[in-house]
Formats: sequence, structure tokens, C-alpha cells
Amino acid sequence: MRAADPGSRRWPAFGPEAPLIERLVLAEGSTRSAALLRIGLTLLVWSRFAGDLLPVRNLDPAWLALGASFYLSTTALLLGVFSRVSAVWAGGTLLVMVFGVGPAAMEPWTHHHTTLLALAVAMLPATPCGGSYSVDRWWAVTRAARAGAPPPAERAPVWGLLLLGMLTSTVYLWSAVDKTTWGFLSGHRLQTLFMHLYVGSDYPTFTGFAALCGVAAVLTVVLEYLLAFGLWVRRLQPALIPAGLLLHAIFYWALPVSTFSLTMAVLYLAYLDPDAVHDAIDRIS
Amino acid sequence: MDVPLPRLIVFVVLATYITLGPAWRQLAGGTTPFVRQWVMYRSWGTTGCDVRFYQRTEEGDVRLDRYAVLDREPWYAHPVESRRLTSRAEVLEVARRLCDALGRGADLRIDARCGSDDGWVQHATRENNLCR
Repeated sequence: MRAADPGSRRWPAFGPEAPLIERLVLAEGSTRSAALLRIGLTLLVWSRFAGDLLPVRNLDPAWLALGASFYLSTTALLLGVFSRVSAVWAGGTLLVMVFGVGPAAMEPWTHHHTTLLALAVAMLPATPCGGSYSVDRWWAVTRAARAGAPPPAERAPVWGLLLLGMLTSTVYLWSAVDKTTWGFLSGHRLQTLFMHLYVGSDYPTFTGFAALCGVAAVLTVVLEYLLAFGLWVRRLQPALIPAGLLLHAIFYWALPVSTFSLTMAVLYLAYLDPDAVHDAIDRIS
Repeated sequence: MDVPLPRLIVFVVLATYITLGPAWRQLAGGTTPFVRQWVMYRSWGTTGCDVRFYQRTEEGDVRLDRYAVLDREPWYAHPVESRRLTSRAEVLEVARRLCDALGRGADLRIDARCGSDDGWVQHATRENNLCR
């Protein structure tokens, strides 16, 4: 249930007449987007990290404690039990893993896809991630029923979604900046990447390989710059979201990107009007 | 306007960390591991080389499929790790085996270039007969 729109605080901004700071931190919207982000990100966290933290991997007490913190916090987060507290706990555990344990003993945890996941979960407490699809929501509805009141609205400040959108845009922007070199735009780095992963040192004999890598390199960089800024523009979203998803699908299929592509896809929810997401779910329910 | 100060502070701090942190790493040369740079697959493949083997004949240079010459299995039947030549010694070892397979008097040349951050760097352009 979404409460009547108060109008003056609608995402992402109520009109240009509203002060910027109000638009950024006071905007309210449906909590369903944040809830879907909570569920999607937690499942991706399990997919990437849970196996590494099984007791069978390591019986060191510190490792077991880290695993216990991970499993308990992420389970609570997935279910939406005291969601904000769970998000702080899970995010803190992941930050310790990525920035503390990783550099010291688990190099794979320091990669960009793991860092992105940890940072995204660490931002969840800034969102109303337990306002929908959660045990928290179940409890709230039950309390209201007992009091003879209607269910509380699935509505809260959604400034945390802006942070998740900024995180996603920042990934695109600085990735594109890093690629804005002759080495990449010429297609040479894509050639070496393709050869490294697929053919080894034998340059492909099919015609057009160099041209294909050159075109793919330029398109990738242009699209990353467009996604960094354009995903914030409502009118561009119908074109850019499918383009971005296609880009990530290609990455997912062609490169060992682990959870990166799916994390970025889930994070696209942060760009969407939460009330539009809410209404779309209602339409198909 | 009633903007909650704690929320405002958290927002500004996190937004600054998210958006300016990578700039500090990637443009200003910062090194702390607590700020992420978004650099993907920059180094992948840059240690690999493109090595093409040619047999010089009276009709010209003919590119060789080293897998066809050295054994009967196609290239994709070998693990990709074994298909990568990353050092001069590895290239010369393959050249030695090709020379043996081609027989006495063979003239084997290579074009070789290796990856770098700036793209390909040429190392050999068929100057020498590796079977000598």
C-alpha cells in the first residue's frame, strides 16, 4: 500500500522551485525499490561470499567468527528483520572483509565486483530497505491490524537511493575515464583481453577482428559515459536501461565478471522513480 | 526548511566519498586501499603476446598454424593457459619444435608483439631465421 502522494516531496524532485538540498535529502517515495535492492543485493552477496566463509574452508576462530557475523547479518537482512540494523551489521561485516581481510589474506575479495557489492550493502541503511517485503513490514501490518488501523503506508525518505545511484554512476564514469586512452580506444587492449581469455598468443585469423575490437572499445566507452549521466534523466531511461543491461549481459557472457553484471543490473533500481516501481508492481500483482 | 542535520551530514559525507574518492585515486595518485578506484580489467592480457610464425618460401611467407604443424589437435583442444606465450624463452622453444617439424633447411620467421597499457608493443618483425 502506498499512501496518498503528499505532492511536495515526490521523487526525484518535486519541481525545480524546490531547493536542491530538499530535493536530495527530503524526497519521499515507495519503499519497494529499496526492499528489492535489499533482497537482490543480499542474494548476490551470498552467491559471491558464502562459499568462502564455510567452516569447512577454515577452522580458525577468527574466521569462524567472521563467518558467523556474515551468515547471521545477511540472513536477517534478507528476511528484513530489524532491517536497518541488519544492514549496518551486514554492511560493516562486508567492509571488514573487503577492506580488512581482503588485502591481508583474501586477494579475490579486493576485486572491483566484491568492493562494489560491499559498498552497495553498506549504503542500504540509508534506504528504507525494510519498509516492504520484510518481516519488519509483517510486524508493522500486524500491529496496525491489532490496533484496528489500516496498514501503514509503504512510504519513507528515499535519499539513500540517490547514494546507490551515485555509486553506480561513479563506477561507469571512472571506468570510462580509465579507458579513455589510445591503448583502449584503438581496440588494442580489447584484442589482448580477448586473446588472453580465448585464444592465447595466436592472433585470430578471421577478417575484421581488429576492426571489431576497435568499434567495441569506442562503443563501450561512449556508452559508459552516457550511462554515468544519462541514467538520471527520466526521458533517457527507456533507451539507456536496456542498452546498459545489454552491455552487462555481454560482459556476463564473455568475461568472468562474477557478480558484477548482476549487481549493476540490480542497482538500476536506484535510478527509477520508487513510486513508478510501486505502481508497476501493483499493476502486475 | 526542516532538513534533519544528521541525515544531511551522512548524505554529504557518503556522496563525497562515493563520487570524489575514485578521482583522488585515479587522477591524484592517492594510494589508500579504503578508497576504491574503478579500474576494470586494465592489466588483463597485457602480459600476453601475439606471436605469428611464418615459413619463408620462394613464393613468400606462409603463416603457420603451430598446432597443425606440431600435433594434430586443433588449437581449441589445448587449455588457453598453454596457448599463451609470455616470454622470449617460450617463443624460442616453440620455434625450435617447429624447426624440427619442418625439417632441415626450413626458414622460420616470427612477428611478435606484446600487450601493454598503451596497446601493442612490437618486438620482432621477421628479421631472423629462427631455424639457424
